[in-house]
Amino acid sequence: MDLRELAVVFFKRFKAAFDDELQFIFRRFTHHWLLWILPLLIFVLIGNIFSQGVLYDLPVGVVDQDKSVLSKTIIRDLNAGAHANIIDYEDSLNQAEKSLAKANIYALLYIPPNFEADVLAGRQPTPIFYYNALYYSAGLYSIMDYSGLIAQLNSELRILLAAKAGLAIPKLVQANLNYDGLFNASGNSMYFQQFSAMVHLIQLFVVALTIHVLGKLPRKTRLSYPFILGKLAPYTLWYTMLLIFEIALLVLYSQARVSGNPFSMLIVGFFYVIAAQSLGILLFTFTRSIIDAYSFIGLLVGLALTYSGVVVPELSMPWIARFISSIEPLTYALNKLFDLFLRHASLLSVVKTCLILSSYPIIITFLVRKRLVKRLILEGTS
Amino acid sequence: MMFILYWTAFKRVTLRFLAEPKWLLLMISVVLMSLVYLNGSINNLPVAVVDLDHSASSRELIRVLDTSAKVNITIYENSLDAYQDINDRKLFAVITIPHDYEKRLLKGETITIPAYGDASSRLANGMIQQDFKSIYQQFLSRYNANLMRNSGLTAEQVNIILMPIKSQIDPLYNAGISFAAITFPGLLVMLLQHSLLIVSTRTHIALSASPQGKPPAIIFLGSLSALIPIWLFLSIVLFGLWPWILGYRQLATLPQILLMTFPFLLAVLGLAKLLTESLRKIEMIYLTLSFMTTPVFYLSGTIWPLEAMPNWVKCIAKLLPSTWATNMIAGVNQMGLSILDNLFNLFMLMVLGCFYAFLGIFIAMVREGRARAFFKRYSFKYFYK
Repeated sequence: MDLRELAVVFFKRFKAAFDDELQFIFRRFTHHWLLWILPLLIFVLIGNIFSQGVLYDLPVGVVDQDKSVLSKTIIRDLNAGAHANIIDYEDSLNQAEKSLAKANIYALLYIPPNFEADVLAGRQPTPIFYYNALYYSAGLYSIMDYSGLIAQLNSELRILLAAKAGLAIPKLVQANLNYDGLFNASGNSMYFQQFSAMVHLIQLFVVALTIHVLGKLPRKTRLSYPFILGKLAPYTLWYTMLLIFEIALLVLYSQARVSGNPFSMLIVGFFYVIAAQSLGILLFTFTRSIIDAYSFIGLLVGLALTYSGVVVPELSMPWIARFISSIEPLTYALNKLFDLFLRHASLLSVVKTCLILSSYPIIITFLVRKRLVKRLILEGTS
Repeated sequence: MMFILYWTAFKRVTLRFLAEPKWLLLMISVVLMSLVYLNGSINNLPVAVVDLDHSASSRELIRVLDTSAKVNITIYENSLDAYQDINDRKLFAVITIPHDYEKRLLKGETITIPAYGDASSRLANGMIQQDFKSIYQQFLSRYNANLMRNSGLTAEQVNIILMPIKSQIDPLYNAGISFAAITFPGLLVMLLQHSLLIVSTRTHIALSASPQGKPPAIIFLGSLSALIPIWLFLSIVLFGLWPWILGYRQLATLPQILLMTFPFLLAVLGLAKLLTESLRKIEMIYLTLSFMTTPVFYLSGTIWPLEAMPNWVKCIAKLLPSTWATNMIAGVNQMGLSILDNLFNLFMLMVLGCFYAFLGIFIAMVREGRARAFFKRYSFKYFYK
């Protein structure tokens, strides 16, 4: 059989399996569950978890032991800021500390007795702002307005104290370090968390459905690669479209601007789904039952979540973690989709990512070549 | 007789789990995840400084910024290269020192030094921002102090006039801001809950589907309670040993860890009963629970506060045993609370456990037709007969 004939036979078998699977794609509840019900439920849930986008009005405790005009000004101005919502604990420092440890408040401002008198007497009192660094996001946001507020007060008090002491102050330096976030001008967490969660979860759905489909392949048909590929191909298209649909929903809902080419997103998404399907084939091939294969999905969840670079930036990971991150298809797909979404990605870099993602099916085909059909037969007899 | 049945089931499941330690997959997962946190906090993140001034003052500023352990400063000749590299993920931040920086500094004119960090890593960006601002503030204070001293003010006067109010911000419960300490309390509780849910539902379904027919309740009790010692052991490793390995704060004693995790495990077993009766198929359980881990982790409140979530999401979060357990375990283990401070968390775990278990039993009774017989038997009509 020459190469042309081989290609024709391959295509015929592929098409027959593809057409056959299309008829069954929505006949099982499990397929509905994995193809759209659960992905959309989780999309809505995660979208709502981060719906606020930026943390405003976080509960912040105050223990004011001075109760002077100055201390009240600090408290009022802090409360007027965007991030803190002041809860007065009167003089009860113990109760406020307990609330901080119970995460009922995320920061605690302690203003010592004689605060105003000490300021005016030049004794430089120190109000202390404690924040919960374990619940870091909330803790960090709740102290966000404080430094600026104290700097402002100090510049006002400086003139007052100098005039009182009869001192002439020279012109001081007015140099500000203006730190801003790139690729997320609004500081909104929704893009990042939901985008990464979405891409990460699509991988898991693809892996799970691939295992499920392989476990349910008809027993009577002769198992061959074009047949298996034909059976999986409808899901490749479906999940690619689902990923793009979810990204479009996110973009529309958050009124975000896509800086790259949406068509490139589609291409990257397609190769990403294929890479995830090959991971599913790998798990199915090297486990004894589909339940064993499913149990490894749990492992994948944690790893993908940790190594995607959303929690710890890749640049800060130790070499071993960078290596593990580099073997995860999610890392490449997520980075490139992020680039297309919020950064600038050249066509060459998109092609490079697609080539990396397409290496997964090639390597995995090589790894499973002797076992896959045997494993499928074993599944049929078990 | 009942005790013998209980003990036989308990022993059989324990021995099976010891012979086939698939539950150790959880430990493998935790070990692999921990590798990311080996550096503790972020360090040596590459940051570019584009020095357009090339003056003594700009070099002094670069030297001061480079004192931060979190960053590693690289000098760039032009902004375009630096922004290209931040776009390509080779840099984390770019600071540009403008032309005439020194000249304007000496004249006392207003200068703005633009700095841009990669906000796609929210936590790291927040840390770098805080670090740079604090270093820069100290640098500026020193510079202004010099100006004031040169104009004849004494060191004490300079000190008072520069800073009438001293600002002090203290991070609590997580010295050095360890990433592992931020992520792991929620993550470990989520993993413990997920693994126990899967194993207990599997055990439950396997027992129900045994060829000899559904065994008596005491066998279920014996088999499911055999899971508790294994998961208590895992909780000691995860909440007692792991913080020590990753170098973050760990305060709870061994009995405290056991006292906290025991009601949590009971609550999870209750939830497992409900899920078993609702989903019924092992495959469906895997195909549902595996995907819920990420939202459950986000719902724990450690990464994103519950206050920032809509009410219906808060309700879901509060229906999960992991939310209460994370709050309690992080409170005692990392923030120094006592068990007595967490009585409400313990109470809620017990309430959730009982609620889910009874709901699961009720669903099973409805399905088997026993609920109808039960209500018929205890209806008012029957009572007044």
